[in-house]
Amino acid sequence: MAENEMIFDSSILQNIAVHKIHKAKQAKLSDFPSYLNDNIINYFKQKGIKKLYSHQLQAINAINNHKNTVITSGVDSGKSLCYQIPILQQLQDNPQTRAIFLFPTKALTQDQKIKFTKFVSEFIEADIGIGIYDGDTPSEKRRIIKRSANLLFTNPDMLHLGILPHHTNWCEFFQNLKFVVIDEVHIYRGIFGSHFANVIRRLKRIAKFYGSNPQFILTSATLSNVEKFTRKLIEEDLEVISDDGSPTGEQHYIIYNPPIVNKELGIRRSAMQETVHIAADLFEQKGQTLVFSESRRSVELILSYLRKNVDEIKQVQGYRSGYLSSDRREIEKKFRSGKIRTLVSTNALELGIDIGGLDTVLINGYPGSIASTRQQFGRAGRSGKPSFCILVASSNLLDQYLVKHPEYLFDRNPEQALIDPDNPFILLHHLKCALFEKPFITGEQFGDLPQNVLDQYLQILQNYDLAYESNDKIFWKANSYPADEISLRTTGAGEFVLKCEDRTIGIVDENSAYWFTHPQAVYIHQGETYLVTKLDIPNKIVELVEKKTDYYTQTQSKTDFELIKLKKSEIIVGAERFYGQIKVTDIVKGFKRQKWHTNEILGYGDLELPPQETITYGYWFSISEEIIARLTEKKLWNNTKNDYGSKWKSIAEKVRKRDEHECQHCGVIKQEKKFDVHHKIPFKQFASVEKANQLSNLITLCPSCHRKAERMFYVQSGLAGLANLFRSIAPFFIMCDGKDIRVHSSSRIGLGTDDPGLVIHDSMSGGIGLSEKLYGLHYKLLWEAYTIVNGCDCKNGCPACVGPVAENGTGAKKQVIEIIKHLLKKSI
Amino acid sequence: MNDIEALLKGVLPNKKKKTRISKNKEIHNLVKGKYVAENVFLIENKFEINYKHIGNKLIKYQIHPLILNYSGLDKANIEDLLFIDTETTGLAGGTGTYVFLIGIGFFKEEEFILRQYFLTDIVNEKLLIEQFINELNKEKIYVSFNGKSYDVPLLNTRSIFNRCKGRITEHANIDLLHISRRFWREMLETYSLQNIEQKILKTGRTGELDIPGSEIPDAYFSYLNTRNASIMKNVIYHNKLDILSLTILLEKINKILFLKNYKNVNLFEIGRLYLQNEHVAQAISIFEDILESDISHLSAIKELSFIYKRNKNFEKASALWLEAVKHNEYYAYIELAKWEEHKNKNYTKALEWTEKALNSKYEEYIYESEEVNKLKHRKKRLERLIH
Repeated sequence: MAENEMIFDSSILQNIAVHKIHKAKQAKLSDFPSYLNDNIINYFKQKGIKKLYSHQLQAINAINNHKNTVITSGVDSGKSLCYQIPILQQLQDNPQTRAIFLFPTKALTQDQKIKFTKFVSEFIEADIGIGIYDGDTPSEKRRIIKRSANLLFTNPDMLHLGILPHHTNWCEFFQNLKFVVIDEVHIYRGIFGSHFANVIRRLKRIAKFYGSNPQFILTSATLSNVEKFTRKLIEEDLEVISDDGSPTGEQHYIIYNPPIVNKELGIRRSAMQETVHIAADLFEQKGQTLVFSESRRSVELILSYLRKNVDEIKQVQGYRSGYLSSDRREIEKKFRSGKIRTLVSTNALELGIDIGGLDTVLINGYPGSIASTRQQFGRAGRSGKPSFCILVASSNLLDQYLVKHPEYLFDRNPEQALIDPDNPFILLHHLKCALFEKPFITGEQFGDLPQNVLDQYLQILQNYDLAYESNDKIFWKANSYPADEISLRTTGAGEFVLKCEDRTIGIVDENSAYWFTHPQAVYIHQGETYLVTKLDIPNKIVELVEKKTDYYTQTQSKTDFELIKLKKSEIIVGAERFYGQIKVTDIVKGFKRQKWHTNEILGYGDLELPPQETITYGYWFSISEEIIARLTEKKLWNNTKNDYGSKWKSIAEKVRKRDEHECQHCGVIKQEKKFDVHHKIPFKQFASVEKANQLSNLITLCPSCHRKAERMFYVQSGLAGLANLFRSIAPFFIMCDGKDIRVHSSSRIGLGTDDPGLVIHDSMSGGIGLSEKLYGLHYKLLWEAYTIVNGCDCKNGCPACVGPVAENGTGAKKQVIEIIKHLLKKSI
Repeated sequence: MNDIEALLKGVLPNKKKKTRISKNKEIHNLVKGKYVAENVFLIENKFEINYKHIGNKLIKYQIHPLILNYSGLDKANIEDLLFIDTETTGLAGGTGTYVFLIGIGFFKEEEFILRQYFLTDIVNEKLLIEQFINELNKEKIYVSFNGKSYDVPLLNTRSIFNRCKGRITEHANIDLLHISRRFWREMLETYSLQNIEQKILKTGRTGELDIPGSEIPDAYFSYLNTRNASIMKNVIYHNKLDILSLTILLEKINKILFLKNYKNVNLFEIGRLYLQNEHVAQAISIFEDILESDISHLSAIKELSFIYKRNKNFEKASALWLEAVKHNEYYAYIELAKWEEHKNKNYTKALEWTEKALNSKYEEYIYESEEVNKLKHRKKRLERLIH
């Protein structure tokens, strides 16, 4: 604790809810293996790397023994060296050697290419070509790279779209391909990962065509199923190197809970303000701090608040997607060199961009997964010095749960990475691409896909006139370029360019443009505020003017469902299940202006933006009236909207008058819209309307404070609890990522049924069959949900089952168990 | 229909219709020719010199030095030329695009010989490409229409893909698309060979025997399904016309250059072509011709003035710059300023031009570019020299 007291003042110390200390760990060192060329060993020794960490030696040995290898040591543990050394050795022994490096982002590609170029130029005499081949590579450079690159740095998208379908241009490259290096492999999960697994199948097939059989080297963040996952991704046996031999200083893991500022309402101070407070304190102490925050907007808010609290504002910078890539490189460089002391970032920096070890990582609110939290925390740590990892809990249920149950964050296995390379929609696309690349010869395989399944697909392609068989060979037979038909990433939408007086200041992806840069929005960029003057949708341009504002804007949106075509429906036990094509409409309806710091609402604006429509497939089920009647009888149904009684309007007006139309928490006076009247003890917890509506239980609050107060007393509904369970278990049945499907609970579904129930749909436009699969798994899903919720040790609910319980609220565990029982039993 | 098929129906195209395999409609039943390898059918036609191809006579001709230089050649005999055109299963490129028809043409003595190698089943594409490679055994010069970026790289891809014996040699390529784009720049809406035939060669194709290029891939696929080669006759005809048109087009281009018959061409572009290929005298004469009939042709003024400057003919150069500043041409102010300062040592005049340059620049741009800063430096220096 001595270290701890040294750095924080008491206003911070008193709110530390959890403090765990990991003792400093000594490095486990080994000598360079003697089979390495002397000049390689000497080179690294001269650079100050006198010995290898144990995991580096293990990895180098495994790679040297031609084993496919995955390295999962921590951030900043010298993972890249594990493959750099054996590849350099190979290059020196055989300058013909080719290697392909796949990085999930362009930034990482740049970073690694520069490093390799340095090594190669410093001690390999042969002429070694090193090139980046991605969307930014100019065409005159492309020709040179195709011909002469030994080390090719690219990304999966480019491999899929540009390289494999033109493999003849890379003839020499593939003939000599020895290594496939895949960095940050844990990114390739869900649909993206399933696509990528097929791209690897195609890559191996083309390599084989040119007579090569490359060795795979992967790096990954810690995953609970790393071996299983990587085995499935590359369909090869792998050696897993996970025993991290790098040293770490003492590490402090802290969960900070903002203090309660209104006892009666249970409202805590905002996590963002507390994050700024702590970051400012850390800034004064001269250490280097990385602040993570979930959204791009929150990054900008923290940045501008923080700059108001410090003198050297240039040493505080922001980092997120949407900045120009040249600006991002510059920021990375300055942070690495220490010129920037505090960097506020979205998870854009979570990926392995090299910024060195830091003194402190500060996270504003739980990032939503254990894996992300650990990835972000992993940025802290310098050897020989203590480092601090601080999570500032927000008032979200999940965050408050972690405050009470830190073991969930620290001891549980991180989320699994799941993929399904054989998903029919994904597979079909890649088989088309594979066929385009090279005919299939009878008996030829495609990864681990069973032969009879492959044959079925090839037959289908023939039936639909996309393939042609002659002499035991099946050929692509269409006037098209199938790789163009799919994007590996679900968010493949276009980009809007942000223009301020003819100057391009950044970009915003199409999906976010509507809520981020709608007309009259305050757009914050590197801490400066701009006002959006025009959102030019056809030309994808956002026009902005620089303007200092005393407010920021926040959009209000809603999601609607519409049934397009019902494909299947069935009346089943206690419910009716449906499967069909649906339209999901997200509309940004308007926005509000909120004052900086106080968040006071200054006004509202309406927006007339075209709705963003996604046509996809969904599976939904409605719960029968009979069951609801039974549950209501047992007081286990709380999805009905509260009926505050016939006198509610006049009671509420009385309360507002009593409170003089002033928010009783923040003190704002009503302007346009009437303020809300809030039940201090939730309405649902009372037996009678009269008792709940007693004036002493009612209080006037502005909408923003009302939301805060509600969160603390949230009475979770059984349906919301069930949705939460489905959200966490469904991915396991269909091997997708959490974000590949969306799960909603609704008291009135509105897709051909007005009953309450759950709606689950494919996130991706057009769908890839996930919902249909789930429709068929209805009972299995319910049974699994039942097993989990029944077997969970918690009392009322927790994130591992129905979802966290509010600080002063009630969980829905009992209700959920009851609902599921009714949906599974033959007779009630 | 099995489960997978039912599931994927929404993302699949229309199901293949049941097709009847035609009898006696194979290519050898419909077109005169012979098989030279498995599934490779050769159609050979010989045309005597003076054969009339849609209104134009097929003749042997000299190739103008400009065209040779532009294509990276010093000299060439008409008999060294190999006219090529290929038909493929797709326009997207990439390894899934197969070549099924390669047409080549060349002059030999008193004849123009056209050979078309037609592939009756893509399974033997390798043999087709090898036939083509055999035609390349002696030094040749390709004449193509977009062959530099399409046909030749594609043939090269196919040779690697099929692991062919021998390679497609990288001969020089007279690419008539590139040349046409220069000759008739801004004068045609599209630069397709058909449009050039119509607008430049003043000929049209007879519709019933031809097929639009965009329909060729699907026509071939349908032939593979039905073995009915009737539509392939049109494709072969289309390919033949393309090659004959290439010979006529090249002759037309030569004639324009030899006879200096510059009506209906973009003369300025031809001047630039001469300049780029270091035929400076011709370039000067063309630019002078242009200015004779149109003294306000600003691009010609600019090009010509710089030729004069390079030739140290400042008198003529400065006359043109003085003409150009009438049109507020920024570069001309600068050139005049340089000329007055360095050659005439007339600093006052140089300063005058520099100031005018600055004013002309400020009107257009808000920002102070590097160029403007340079100008300001010049201004300061001149002011110092004057005082």
